[in-house]
Amino acid sequence: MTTTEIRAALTEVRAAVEVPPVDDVAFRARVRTERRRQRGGRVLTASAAAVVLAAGAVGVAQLVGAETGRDVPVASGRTAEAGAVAETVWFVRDGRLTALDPSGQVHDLGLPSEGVVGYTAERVYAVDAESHVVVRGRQQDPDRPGRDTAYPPAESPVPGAVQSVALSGDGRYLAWMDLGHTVTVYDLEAEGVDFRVDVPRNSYVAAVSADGVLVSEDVDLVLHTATGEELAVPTQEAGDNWGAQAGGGRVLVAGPTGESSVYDLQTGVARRIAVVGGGSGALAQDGTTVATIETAPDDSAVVNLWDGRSTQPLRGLDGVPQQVRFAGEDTLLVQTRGGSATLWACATDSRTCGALPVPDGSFRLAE
Amino acid sequence: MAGDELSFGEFMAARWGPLYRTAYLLTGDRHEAEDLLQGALARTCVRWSGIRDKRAADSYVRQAMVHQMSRQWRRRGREVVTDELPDRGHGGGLDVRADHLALWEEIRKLPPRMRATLVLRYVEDLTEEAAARQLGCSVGSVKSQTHHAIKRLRAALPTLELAQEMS
Repeated sequence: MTTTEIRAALTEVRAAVEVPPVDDVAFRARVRTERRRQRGGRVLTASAAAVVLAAGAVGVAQLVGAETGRDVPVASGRTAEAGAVAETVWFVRDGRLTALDPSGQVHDLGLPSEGVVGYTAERVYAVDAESHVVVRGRQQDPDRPGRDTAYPPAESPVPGAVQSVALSGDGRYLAWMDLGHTVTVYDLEAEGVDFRVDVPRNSYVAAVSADGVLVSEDVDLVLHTATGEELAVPTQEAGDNWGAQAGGGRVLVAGPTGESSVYDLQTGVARRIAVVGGGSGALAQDGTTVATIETAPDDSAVVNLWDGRSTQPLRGLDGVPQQVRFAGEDTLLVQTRGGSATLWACATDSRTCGALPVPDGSFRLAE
Repeated sequence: MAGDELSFGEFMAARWGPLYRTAYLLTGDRHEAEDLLQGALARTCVRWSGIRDKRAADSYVRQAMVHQMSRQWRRRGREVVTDELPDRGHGGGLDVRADHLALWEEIRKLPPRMRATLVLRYVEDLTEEAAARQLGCSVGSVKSQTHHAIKRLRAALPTLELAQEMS
């Protein structure tokens, strides 16, 4: 018998293997994870996407089991200073949906979650481990303003699993791509579908705003409007439109070349109005402010804030910025990593930051 | 259809089956095969626009699978031969000759790198140079892995009298 027998045996087994159908939900979750990993890898050449805070990294905090009402004490070591949030902010911590309320309490909802789609003062939209969009409301203590007491489940307008999903910065529009290739834009205020559009299979919803839904379609970034128009947004490099966000008639495209472009769509064409250093960023919901993470060759990094006129770095951050996300128009959330990792709340007007009292874990600020 | 017009969705629909079968031969386990292939396809999906020759995407996915397995090999530190085979995965030998089935059971017991070398050389019909590129090793390593794999199979199944053909 020769190696031909090995070839024959392997070939025969290969042909006899029962091939399972594609698990679309699981696969799309893997794609989202890979996109997040790719984004993290581009911005931070020497770090993993998930960041683990060292014990005792941040200040006094209480971790509240919102489902059970139990208060769980956590390690403390440094008192947060300027960091404060006016409204509850949301993130995924250690794979579970988590809230930080204005009183400084951290609430672990115990809900396995892939990421936070977006939130308003009243509710949060997140993607659970089965790729369904889940919605939680927010109840506050009437006697203690700023302290949340419960996050009751609310009805999701999304009927099934999604491949990708986005919430507009003003919290009015929710857009998702289902397991087929249809993108639905839902008006949460009117409680009805605004419009639907079929897109190529390998697309994903990058952002949604009053202007329409921004879809990454292989090599193209396209804004689909409610009237059926399609507006192409340049991405500088094909397929690298991963950082796109929309708001206030503008689109931010954060590319792999270490710079981000701001496009104005008001005239019906994508007109580039600014280039900001940094290959990862966030656009404020009104489109007036852009935050980007600019990484130096030595892997140090700063967060730049562009206000339409000039670009200035944020002050007061300690550690290497990893993720940014606007929480309202005046506050920017930043997650940094040093010997430990920290969440910061930065005021966009004064450009100063203070650490938030969030205990250690691995964080994800967006979907 | 021109290669550069192929969408990822079309590619995946057409190639899921064949690539799954390759993944199964690489892992010897149905669940691990699906996990390995999904990971490789997810990586391919997000880089699809950067793959110039879409017709060569099979090779890209296969290499992604091998690289993923290589990372697992490195994490393990060394390869461990096991006699425990929890998943037959091929319908209990349906449509597989008994002697070939016995040979496959022994191939499944080989360390992953040896098994991958055999799959790339004898199923994917790669040259030693091409297999070395996909495995991220030298041509000499491919030769030695093949040599040792055949030696082990011959020891396990002496009645098959495997000849030591290296090409």
